[in-house]
Amino acid sequence: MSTLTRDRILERFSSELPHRLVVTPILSKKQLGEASIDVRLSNQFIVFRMHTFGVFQPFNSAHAKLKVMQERQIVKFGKEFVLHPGILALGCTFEYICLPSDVECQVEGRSSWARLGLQIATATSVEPGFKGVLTLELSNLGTIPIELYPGVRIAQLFFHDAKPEITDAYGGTRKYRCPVGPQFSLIANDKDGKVFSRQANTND
Amino acid sequence: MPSIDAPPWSEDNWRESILRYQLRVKGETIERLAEKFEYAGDFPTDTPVSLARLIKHTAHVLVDHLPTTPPDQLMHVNLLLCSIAEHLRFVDRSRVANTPWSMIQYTEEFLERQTGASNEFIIRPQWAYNYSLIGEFVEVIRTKIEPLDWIPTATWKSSLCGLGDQKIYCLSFPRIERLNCLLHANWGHEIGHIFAKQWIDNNFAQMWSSEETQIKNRIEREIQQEIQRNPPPVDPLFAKFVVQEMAADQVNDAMQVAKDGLTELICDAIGIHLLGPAALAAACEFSAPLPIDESPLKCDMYPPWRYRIRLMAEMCGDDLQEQTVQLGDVETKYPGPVIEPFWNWLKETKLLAQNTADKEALNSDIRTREAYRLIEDKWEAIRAQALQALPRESAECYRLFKRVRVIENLVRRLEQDTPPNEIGTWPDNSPASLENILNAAWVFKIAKIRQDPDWVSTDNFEKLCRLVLKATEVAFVHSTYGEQLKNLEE
Repeated sequence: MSTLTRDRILERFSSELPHRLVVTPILSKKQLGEASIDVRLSNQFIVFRMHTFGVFQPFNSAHAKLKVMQERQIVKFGKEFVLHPGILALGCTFEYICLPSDVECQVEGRSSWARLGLQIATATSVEPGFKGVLTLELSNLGTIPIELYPGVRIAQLFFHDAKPEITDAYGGTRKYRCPVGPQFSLIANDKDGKVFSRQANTND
Repeated sequence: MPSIDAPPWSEDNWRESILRYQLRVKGETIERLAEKFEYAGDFPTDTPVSLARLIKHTAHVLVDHLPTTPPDQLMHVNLLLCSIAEHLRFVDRSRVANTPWSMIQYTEEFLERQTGASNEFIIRPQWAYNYSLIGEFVEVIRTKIEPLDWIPTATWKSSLCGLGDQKIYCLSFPRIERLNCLLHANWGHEIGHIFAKQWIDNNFAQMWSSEETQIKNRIEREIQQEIQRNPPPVDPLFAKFVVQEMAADQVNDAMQVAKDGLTELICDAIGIHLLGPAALAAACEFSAPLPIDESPLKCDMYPPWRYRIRLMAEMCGDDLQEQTVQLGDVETKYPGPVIEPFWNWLKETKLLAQNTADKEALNSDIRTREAYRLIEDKWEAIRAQALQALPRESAECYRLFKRVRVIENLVRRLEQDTPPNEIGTWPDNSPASLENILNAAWVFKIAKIRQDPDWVSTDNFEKLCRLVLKATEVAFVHSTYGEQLKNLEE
């Protein structure tokens, strides 16, 4: 698996379909590294409403229940989103990404943020054929609150060749299709999880 | 025991004492409610906060002046407080969760660009299935405050911290269409009301008075003929008065039909001018479930939809022609394969307009016949005059044929499940305009439906709206911050 360097990334931007790589919009040259693209923080967040929920049973809770536990917040560009220590919030990239069927992508936090205690993403791999904004799991591992501003460069994308090319990449039964904001977890859709979960067995 | 000097009990004094404390509490409650909205922080822009502040400060001034309010004016102050409190519902409903929030900033900026920087727009849903423009609120409140001679208008205005020079409107859309951003092309028509009012205020009375005598004579003649056919059950001596009275009523009706009809037609013209075929498409979809040949006398003086669509299609005339377009050094065929399905669909509005059932409905009554005869005689001049009020940068009508390449580029993005937010590829990319995004979305949607009538499933349509909404937000941020970021690099 080889990493796409700057020239190959640029080449992929103007390739013919279906091999075109889309990262839109790129607002400044600064976003392009030698082998990566910096992506910006969007203005949508999902935060937890801890006071409304007890224990969350991932394989035994309706999706609607999850929306009781979490709520979407919109922060205007120019305003701040404060992430307190020990708190997890879901954010997303401002850029919309389309991966061709022969490119895979890794999301990494920027070290400048990591040094402040901000962890950006835990599910770092994006499969070929994905289209949408990337949900970022933001958590503050430090001891002081951090102000985050929509629009700031928050993470980096590294692209890799995926060979052989996948037919019907990201098609069929994938859970997250063309999202334009952070997505609530769809863990309850994992049928195999129910096999192992205590809750499901208890209810049988 | 009551003192000997105490004034005798009177109903007026009793009522006054209740009103004075009640109004204080009511006013302070309104202030507190408005302040809650002011700091709620969940609005897509700051305009709802401006209206909340206007209401808060107005309530404060009214409460502050309660001690000097004449007793016979307390009931009036009560009505005033209740009416400004009602305006808070516009603020409440414009929260992020109730609006297509991602397109609000770009839309507001677009609307302000057309109508002037001092105009602000709150965009909120309403449960009634209609689009509408309400306001302007600062003026509405000012006209209510001015007659209160115990409150100097200057005091009220200075309490508003600069808001007194603003104009705040509320633009409503049907709640169930919240995410249907394609239909929101109807907003072009709604801001047309600002220009239509301006035209009507400045020109209508003069235009009407120059025609009124002839209209009245024709109406009287028709009534006389009718009376000869069916004499009224009155003494023939009074017949003349009956004719005069009926004629006066009918002239008045005709005037209202003409005034309200022109208002709507000017709004349509502004919508088409600003948003082009997207506005026509939105009007067609909006009117499809409605009777389109109804006489204005039967539907709140609105012109028949067929009549409106005919005029809108005429304005889009150049976009409905097949032609070769010179774009830079390149000659391009319009409409071309990408736009053609939408173009064919739009051309069908011409077929719709060939049917003259609407004109028959208008001609069947002398009031509508006279009103629309006047409108038709003067329409070209009126439209040109109304459009002149738009800012210089919007002087040119939106033309799809001049944007073939741009629209094709944006439609291809939608075909790849990508938001149509920019033209070109980095580094030669630029943000798409709201007008182009909406038109591209319509081109895409109609092409899909033409290919497969079952395409409009909830999933497909939601995905299209989602991508278009994302595009409007991204394009707004791109156009707002992109230049600053580039300058930093340089």
